[in-house]
Amino acid sequence: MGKPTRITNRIRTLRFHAGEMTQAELARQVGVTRQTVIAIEQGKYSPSLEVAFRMARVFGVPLEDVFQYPADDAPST
Amino acid sequence: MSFHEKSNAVMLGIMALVAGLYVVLVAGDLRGVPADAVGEVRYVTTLAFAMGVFVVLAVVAHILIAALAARSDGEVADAADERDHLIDLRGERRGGFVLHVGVLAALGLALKGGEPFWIAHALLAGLVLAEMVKATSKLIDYRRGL
Repeated sequence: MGKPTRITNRIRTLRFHAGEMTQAELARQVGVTRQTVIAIEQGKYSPSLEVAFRMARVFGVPLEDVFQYPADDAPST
Repeated sequence: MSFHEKSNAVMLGIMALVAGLYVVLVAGDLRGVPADAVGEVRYVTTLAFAMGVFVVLAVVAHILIAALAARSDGEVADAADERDHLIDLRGERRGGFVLHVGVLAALGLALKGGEPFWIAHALLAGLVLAEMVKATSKLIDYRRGL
C-alpha cells in the first residue's frame, strides 16, 4: 500500500446492515466509482471529507460510525 | 479494473512498444554515420511514422476497452471521481520532473551549439519518458492505493 493510514472503516458491516447493499449501489448513491468504494473499504484510499459525509448520510449514521481514527494518534498540540 | 486503469495500462504498453520501435529504426539509420553527420539522418519521417502507429494503436485499443467495459460493468465506462483525479495529479507531478530534465538537457545542448538531432531527441526522450513515468505512477497508485 502507498502512504500508510490509521483510518479504519466499517463500510462492509454497514452495507450488510443496509439490506446487503452492493458496492456498486453505494458508489452510485455517493457519486463515486465502484473501484473507489472498493479502495476505501480496503483502506487503500482515504476519501475527501465530502465523500465521507455523503457515505455516512447514505447509511444514516454519524461520520465516526463509518470512519474511525485511533485516539492515541491525535497530535499533542 | 476501471476503464481509466485499463486505458492507462494499455497506453503504457503502447508507448513502450512504439518508443522501442522508434529507437530501433533510428539506431539502424545511425549505424555507420559519423558523429558530426547525424544531422543528415532523416528521423522526421520515422518520427511521423511512429506517431501514426501510436495513434492508430491507441484508438483501436480504446475502442476495444470501451466495448468490453460496456458489457462487463453497469457504470458509465469513463466515469472518473476524486480518486482518479488525485492519481492523475500524482502522475503528472512525477512525470513533470522527468520532463524538466529533458527540457534542461535540450536547453544545455542548444546553448552548447549542439546538433538539432540531439536537441530534438532530448526533448522527445523527456516527453516520452515523462508520459511513461506518469503512466507507471498511475498504475502503481491504482494497484497499491494512495
